[in-house]
Amino acid sequence: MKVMFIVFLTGFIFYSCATDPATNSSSLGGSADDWLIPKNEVFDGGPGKDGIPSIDNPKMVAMDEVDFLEDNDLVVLFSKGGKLSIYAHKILDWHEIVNDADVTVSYCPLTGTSIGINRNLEQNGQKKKTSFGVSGLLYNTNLILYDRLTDSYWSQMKNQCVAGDLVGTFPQNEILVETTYKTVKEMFSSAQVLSNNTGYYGKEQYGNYPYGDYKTNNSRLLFPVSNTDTRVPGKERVLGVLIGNDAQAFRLSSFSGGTNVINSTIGGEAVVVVGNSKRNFSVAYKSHFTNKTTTLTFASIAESGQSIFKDNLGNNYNILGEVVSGPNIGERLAGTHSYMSFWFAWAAFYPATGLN
Amino acid sequence: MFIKSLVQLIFVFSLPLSLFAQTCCSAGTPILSAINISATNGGQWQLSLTAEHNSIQDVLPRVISPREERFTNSLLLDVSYGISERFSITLIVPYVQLSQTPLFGSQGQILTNGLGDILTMVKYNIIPVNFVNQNQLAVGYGLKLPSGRSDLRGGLGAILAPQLQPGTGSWDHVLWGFYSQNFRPEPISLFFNLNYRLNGDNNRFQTSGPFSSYKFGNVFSSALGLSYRLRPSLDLSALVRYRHTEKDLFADVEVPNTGGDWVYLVPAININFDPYGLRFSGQLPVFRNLTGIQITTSFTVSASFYYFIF
Repeated sequence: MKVMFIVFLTGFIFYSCATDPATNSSSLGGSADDWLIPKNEVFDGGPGKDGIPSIDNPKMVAMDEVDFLEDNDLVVLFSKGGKLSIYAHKILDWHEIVNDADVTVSYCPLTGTSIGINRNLEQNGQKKKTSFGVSGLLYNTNLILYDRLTDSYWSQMKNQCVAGDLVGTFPQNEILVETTYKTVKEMFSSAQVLSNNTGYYGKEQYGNYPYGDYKTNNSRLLFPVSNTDTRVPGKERVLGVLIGNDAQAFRLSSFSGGTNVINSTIGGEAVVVVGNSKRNFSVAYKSHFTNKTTTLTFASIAESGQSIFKDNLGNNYNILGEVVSGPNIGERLAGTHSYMSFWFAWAAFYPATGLN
Repeated sequence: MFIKSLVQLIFVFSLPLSLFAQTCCSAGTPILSAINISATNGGQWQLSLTAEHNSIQDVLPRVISPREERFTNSLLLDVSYGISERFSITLIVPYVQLSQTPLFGSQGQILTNGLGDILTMVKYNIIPVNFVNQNQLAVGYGLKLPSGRSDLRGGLGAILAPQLQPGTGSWDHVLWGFYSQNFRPEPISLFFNLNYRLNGDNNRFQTSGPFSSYKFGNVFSSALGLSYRLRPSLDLSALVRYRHTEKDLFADVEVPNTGGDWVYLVPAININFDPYGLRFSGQLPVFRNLTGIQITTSFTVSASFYYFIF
């Protein structure tokens, strides 16, 4: 009997060891070998592909119908064709991606970054409209999106397709501005707000932040990053600007005493950086209008309504870089690749970044 | 020797074989709670094979909706040998299957399986049970080996999350204690169990530098139960089990949404036909106070077959 018992034991262990553990998931697309970023620095966040559901049919409501946002809540603002849309972090924390009609709003709660992506991707020489989803993967603890047209994978902060058919290509970005709900209310009372009636979760869920004290605890990360930089506390919010290979970070806290306007050059391009720590915004635009080349210079003004800075031609601008009064009304400054970020994340992606 | 063994066999059969409970949402197998509740008698081999299904679907707090469903199926082989009246050794070899199914999107189930973490253990009977002593007091020390894979990767090559890894990747220490009391001639036994698992570091992300250290939270577990012998071949038991898990540490900083307190009710039926036995058990949560937002065990069911060789 003892012999039988020992044989059984040996067999059990042998069977256990011999079975090769493997996933039985549906195809994730792509190949495990064609990553543009170090494969061993890509981590599974846990929920799986689409485990964090993107909002694909966003319901927008008027501001006077909104009862779930406080003045200090951070929101993302998007403007196109005179239509203003507001997406609250409270909702983005749980969905990370909103596929709206004119833009995909991507937001990574672990890096505090909102980046707008044009939904038209080029495939085989043709532009095709797609939507994006949450891949469940992270690089430098930052969101990797996937597109539903080609199942390619896109690093949000690297702003590039990093795996799949479109590997190496860049998305066309749309301008997003991050600030508080109060600031937006003061400037754009007619804006529409993404409803918390999303169809995915109960409204109460959006009152819960999913990551404890992550936003304020400087030493807390959930996944590895490839570079750490202690010049600034890790969770301090900075405006990161990338033009060419020149990365610059502007500390939001440095914009004190009203709205500051900085005429600067980044990556050989003249840019204007405008920030106000009290009103909680910082934006950067190229110093010329979209599709034009004349370089403008900018200065601060006494803020009134939407107007927060001016140029040498007598134009006044709003936070979106749109001329709201002056000879060039209707024009808009060309956008830069810039967005608010936790400092640690910006420094992880751009180790050589300047700090302002 | 035979009579002595028989006494202990009767005693053992009157108790739940083990204190099953899954480690909720963290990696690995329910190894801690699979430790046999009593020490094996001198010269005796004890074999048990347990199949367990752990359904993990509850999200706390309740206002948070689940975004996935998980389950863990385990097959645990427990082999114990009594070196002497006082000392016994135990080897627990798990084989696990872990599943995660998103409730959104088009991705199907992710299923992994493999050998789990093996536990080796030495137990010491401070008060062995016999005709005179109707109580038993035992302590033990265990070492959990990182035998289960903790570096499984998904389709695109990324290391899967811990809840889909068969092992934890760490060497862990287990302290174990047990006390029981028979109330003859009443067919009732009372038992009390303590476990403490000190988890070692693992390299969850398979990286180097400051982010190479991840540590699952230490686990304290205790159980208090009663067993009632309905017939010579049939025992009913129920126990209340408390578990406290500390928060995980990543790069020496606490990880949100980990750690908490659980209380479970564990009813069981033991069917004994010496030297064999069968045990059917369930586990239901009756209280949970978890840190942050967590998905956790909804219920557990298990079936065991055990066999003694004199």
